[in-house]
Amino acid sequence: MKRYIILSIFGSLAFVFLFILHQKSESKFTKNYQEVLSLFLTARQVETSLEKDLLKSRNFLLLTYDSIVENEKEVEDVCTNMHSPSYSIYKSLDHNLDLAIDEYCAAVSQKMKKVEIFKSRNAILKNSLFYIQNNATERSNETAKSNLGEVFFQNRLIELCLAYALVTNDISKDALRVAIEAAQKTLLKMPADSEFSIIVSHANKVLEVKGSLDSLTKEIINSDSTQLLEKARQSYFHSYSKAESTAHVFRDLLFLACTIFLGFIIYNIILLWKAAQKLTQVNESLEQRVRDRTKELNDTKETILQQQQTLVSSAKMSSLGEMAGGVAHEINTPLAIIGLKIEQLEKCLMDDIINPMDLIEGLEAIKSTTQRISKIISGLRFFARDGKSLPTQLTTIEAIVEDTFSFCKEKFSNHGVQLELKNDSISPLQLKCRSVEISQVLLNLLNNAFDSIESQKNKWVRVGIADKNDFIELTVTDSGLGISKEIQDKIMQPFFTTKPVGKGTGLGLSISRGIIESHQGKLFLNADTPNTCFTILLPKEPEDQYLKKSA
Amino acid sequence: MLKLIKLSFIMPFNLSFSFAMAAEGNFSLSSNEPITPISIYGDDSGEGQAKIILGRQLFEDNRLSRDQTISCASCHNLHHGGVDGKARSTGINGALGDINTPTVFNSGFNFRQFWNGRAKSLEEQIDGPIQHSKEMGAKWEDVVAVLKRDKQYLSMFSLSYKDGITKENIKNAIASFERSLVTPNSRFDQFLNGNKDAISALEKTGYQRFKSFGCIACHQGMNVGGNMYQTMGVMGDYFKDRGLPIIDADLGRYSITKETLDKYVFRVPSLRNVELTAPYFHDAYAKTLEQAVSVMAKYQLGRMLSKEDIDSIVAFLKTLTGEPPKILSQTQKANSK
Repeated sequence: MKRYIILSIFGSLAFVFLFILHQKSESKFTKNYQEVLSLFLTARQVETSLEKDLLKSRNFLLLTYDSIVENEKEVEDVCTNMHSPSYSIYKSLDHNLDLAIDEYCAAVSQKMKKVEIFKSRNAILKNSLFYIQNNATERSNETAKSNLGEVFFQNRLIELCLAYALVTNDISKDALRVAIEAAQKTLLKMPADSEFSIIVSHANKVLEVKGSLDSLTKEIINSDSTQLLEKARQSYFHSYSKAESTAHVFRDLLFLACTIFLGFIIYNIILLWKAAQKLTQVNESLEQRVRDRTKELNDTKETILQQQQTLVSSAKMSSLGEMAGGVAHEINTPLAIIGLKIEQLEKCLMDDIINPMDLIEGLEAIKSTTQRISKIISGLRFFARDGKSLPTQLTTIEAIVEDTFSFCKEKFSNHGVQLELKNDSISPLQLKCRSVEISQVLLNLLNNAFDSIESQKNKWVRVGIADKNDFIELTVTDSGLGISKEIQDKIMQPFFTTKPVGKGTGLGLSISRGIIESHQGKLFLNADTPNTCFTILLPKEPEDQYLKKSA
Repeated sequence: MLKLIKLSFIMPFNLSFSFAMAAEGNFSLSSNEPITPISIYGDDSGEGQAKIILGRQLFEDNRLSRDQTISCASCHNLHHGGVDGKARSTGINGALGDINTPTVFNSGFNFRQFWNGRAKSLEEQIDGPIQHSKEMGAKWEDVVAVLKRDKQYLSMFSLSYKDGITKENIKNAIASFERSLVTPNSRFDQFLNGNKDAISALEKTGYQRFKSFGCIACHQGMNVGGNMYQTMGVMGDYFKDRGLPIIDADLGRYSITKETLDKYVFRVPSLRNVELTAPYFHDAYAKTLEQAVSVMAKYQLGRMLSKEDIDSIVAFLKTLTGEPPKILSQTQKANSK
């Protein structure tokens, strides 16, 4: 489940990443292509307009160099841009492009140098032509002062210079040059004023500058920068298409990868959906199982409760059995006494020594013994009755203790166990209870005590009675050395026993506690004494209602 | 397209028309004028303004020099046309510079910086005076370290620049400030913009002379110069006549390119505010405008000018004095706040 989610997320991220990469590579390509294209275009345009401006300036149509300077700067900017990283992305792919751009820029810088020279020369030529023209106008206004020949030659020189400045045809230029030089010579031979020499020197300047200016203009216009630009452009196209085709493959691969990842995502989502369905099923079956288990558990609990009940009654039976053993013992002794007395009496009758006093005494003994037996049996019947069905009676605790003692006195004395009663109360203590149940509890405690100390040398069990205002305290202390801490908490639990298997049921104490608690009393182990001591606290007057209810 | 242009070049057409127009001064106030009014200003955005204010503080900060005695403003006096008026400026330890200080005003319009045009941008230019042993004699790492100790700079830089105080950012801030140092609305600009009464008749004559004598061949464009190189002494040997020994600073672009062709070649200076930037030329040879005009006419134009012509041209040149850069009063206000 988690794995599918992670895979889906990973797949989506990869898809988005690849998709963006794909889109970007495309836009980057077209953008760069357009930028470079516009750069080449700008270069061409600027150069053309620069050349146009030069020619205009040359022909006195452009009066300032500002636009030329602007174009120069633009051409320089183009070259700077061509070397900037964004325009040189193909440099690594194609060395030729790099070379072509460098060549072009070198040509451009050469061209710009020439443009600078052009600007200076052009200004000089203009100046000289200005002078000649200007001077001619002034002179012709002052013809009166000068002689005609002077003026003629002067004007001829001026005309020749102007013509020379304007022609481009090489042959006529050469012819004009010869004519100008001749005119200069003639003019210099004349007795002239100082201005003649100035005119001649300006004419010289025209001759000097004009030639170089023409060749300079030609060089600038025929500069190989145009071809080099075209070469660079071709080179760029070449590397662009090369890079583009590589990039195309790359882009196709990217697209393929995108598709694969998309499929992967869909596949994962399907798996995820399936897994989710499966999970719901598992959840349902799990709930069913839990319900089944709960039911089973409830059933088991009921069975256990039934079993427990059975066990309780069987425990009762077992304690009854135990008691029966004790009873047999109790009855055996008086029966033996009766038997003995009867034998004595028989012997007396046989020997014919009948002493009526003895006879009466013997019969009395038999009678009293028989009475004792009947008392035991009546007690037994009383004990065996189901105590819970009985109503509460007002009785004394002493009577209950005495009754209980009668069941086990013999057993204790036979096994050398000292059974003592320690009554702290002066007067008999009355209480309302179901005496049979209390007796059962006491007997159970006595039997437990007996069992636990049977193997000891110095054996005793002490039952104490004490008045505690509204309660009566009944303690059973034996010579045992207490109960270890580990089991103290457990002894009251049902089925807990320290006795060998088969001997105890482990229900004695828990049942006893139940009985005492139904009397609103308490049964607990007194851990403060050195010996093992169980304490029963019984209210003298429990609430009837409660007793009835519990019954 | 190119062929067409070539064709048009070859095709003879009536040049004398436009030629004569320029020569005779029958100009109309159209875009055909060789001089154009100032139409570009510094960065007006809030971000730009922050950089400009920072740049001004740096421009006037002595801590940019090694012994912390010289600032950019020491030589480029912002209240005196962007120059100190001396032939050669004094750097750290009283060292005299090799060349006359060019004005910082409108320097952003120049196509190259320095007399010999060795810096392509103002940013690049700043490296020069900061590190020159006779000027500020500092090292960038020291400057950066010193500025980093200043809490105000730290916060100002962090406002304008992601990476705080660096060499590049210091240069950019100063250059931003310098680009804002434009002097618009000169009387001549007003004239160009259509106010025919902005300049006097003498000044108009001066302008016509300026054009017809050929000064305009070099001093043209928005900055009245500053967009090309020209040899000092086209029509005569200026350096020979000067009579002083030729030093490295006289060689112009030659000291960079080492090409004979570049000997004595300088960037044509702007003539805006020329009234305020005496003395003139790279070697401060001309103490007055009149002298400068006459020297230029002789060695560059190959003609001797009458006093009348000179006076009218000087009168014209004085109309090129613009309003002090707006930013100076603005940042002063900002500082006083």
